[in-house]
Amino acid sequence: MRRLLPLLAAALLITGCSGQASPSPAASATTSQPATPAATGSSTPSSLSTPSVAPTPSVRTITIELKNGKVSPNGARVELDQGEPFVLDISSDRDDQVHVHGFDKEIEVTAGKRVTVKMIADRTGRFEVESHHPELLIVVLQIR
Amino acid sequence: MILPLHGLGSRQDLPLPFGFVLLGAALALVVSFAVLAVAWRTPRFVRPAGLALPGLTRLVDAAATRAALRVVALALYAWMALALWFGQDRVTNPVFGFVYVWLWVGLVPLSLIFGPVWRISNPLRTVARLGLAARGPLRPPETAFWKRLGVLPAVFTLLGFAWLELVQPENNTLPVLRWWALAWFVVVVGGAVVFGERWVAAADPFEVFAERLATLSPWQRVGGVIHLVNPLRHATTASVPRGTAAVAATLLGITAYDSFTNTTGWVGWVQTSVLPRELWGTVGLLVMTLLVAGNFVLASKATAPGWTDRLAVSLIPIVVGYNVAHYLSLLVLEGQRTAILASDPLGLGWNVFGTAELGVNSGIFDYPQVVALIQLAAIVTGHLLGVLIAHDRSLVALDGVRVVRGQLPMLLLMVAYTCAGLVLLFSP
Repeated sequence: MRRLLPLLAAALLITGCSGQASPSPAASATTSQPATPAATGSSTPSSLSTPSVAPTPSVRTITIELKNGKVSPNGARVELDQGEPFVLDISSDRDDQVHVHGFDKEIEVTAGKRVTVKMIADRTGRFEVESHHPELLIVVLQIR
Repeated sequence: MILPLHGLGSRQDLPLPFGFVLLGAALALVVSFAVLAVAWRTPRFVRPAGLALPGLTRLVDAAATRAALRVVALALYAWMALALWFGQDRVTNPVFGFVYVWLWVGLVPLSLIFGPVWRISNPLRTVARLGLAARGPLRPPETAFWKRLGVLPAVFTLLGFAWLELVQPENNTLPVLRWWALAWFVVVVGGAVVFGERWVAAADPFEVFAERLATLSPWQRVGGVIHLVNPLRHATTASVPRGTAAVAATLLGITAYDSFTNTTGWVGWVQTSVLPRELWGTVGLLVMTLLVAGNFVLASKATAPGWTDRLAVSLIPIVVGYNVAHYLSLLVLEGQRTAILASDPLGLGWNVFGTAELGVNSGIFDYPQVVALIQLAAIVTGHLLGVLIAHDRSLVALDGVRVVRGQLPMLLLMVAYTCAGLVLLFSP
């Protein structure tokens, strides 16, 4: 459904996903901030001491890196318990989308910026998390 | 599977718990050797028998019934063709669910419960018949040709469908699906116009699949009259077209490859390879099918030469068990979604069947343990039925010689298939 992507992308842009918290009603919250130290000063005051949008220590963070057309992790499996919150911490060297299947969640990724999205594993099953340019499977969320 | 990209099948079942894998493997072993040790020693299902149902036969054979079935199935195809050619290229187009779920997965329960209903309602047959009504086939072959042909063309059309489902990029976009639908139509209907309607029974992947499954249904014709029969007897006494082994192995190989693509090792390998993933997909699909087929040929030759197709009947329950385990939740979830979307094939906000407002009931996902149990039960039951059929067929094939030892190759092969299936569902 290539054709759907621009629509979704547009929708996400309109709702302000590129800037601050996403108003998406589902159990998730998106924040994005510059990845390069040079750019950190202006945005959030706390970003020098805590480079990531500090998830509480107990929350599982899945660090995702999109680089040179490769993904890391490369199709690995992440096991979660139903109801468990988790954070996707994504950085990319190009503009892309990261799609969390089954959650109908499409995350806009901007080159050089870091995006963290907090979600809740509220349903059981196996769900693929993919990048779109190129189309690669990053992780499989396995929620019991 | 690569389908999930957008919408269709965006959730997959959890891997089978490892304990279930062990339990299933142990049950398969015990069941196999128990059958070998204690089951009957003279062939039991040699000729068809059961409860004759002349009333049902008259009803099923009535011209009005036939016409009604044909019209309903043709209307369904036409409705979905509308969505395919004039609908919107979005996940909300019902044609994707129709092809990948209703047809490919739905034919399994349909044929198991109602028997060869697809053969008598197959819309491609109806179209071919209309085409042939004006003048007969262009080059009608002799009867011997059909015997030689059997269902062999379906091996290629089934692999074609599997390639579309599992390898073809963008297989959930309309342009791609249109090309494939066109190719399928040309091969099946075109072949029927040239050779006659029997071509459909040899080449239409859906009809061949449905017909093989229908041999496990409780409905069998004996002397023209429909009988209520023991499915095991049906399977062992139904006619076996040439190529049955190849078709059964292909079906098993396709599902196995589908499972195999979920393993993290394969995904990682394909994604980091410099070679295109379509190449890996093609190779993987073919290797998996050849692996299943090759081992089966070896085992059946070791049992009794010349019995490959007739012994392959015993693979059908294993195909079914594996299919249920693999696709049940897809059928439940995406089957519903397709029924909802079917009300609005063109994306214009229609609600023709009154289903558009319904929501998908995904309650099945609250019970992953139950799903896992059903998967395990399906695989073990399929294995048991397969072993029983193989046992009875082997007794005929062995003809009183080495009746226990002679069955070992097939038995071990089936245990191997079942364990491999369980391990793939565990998706290491």
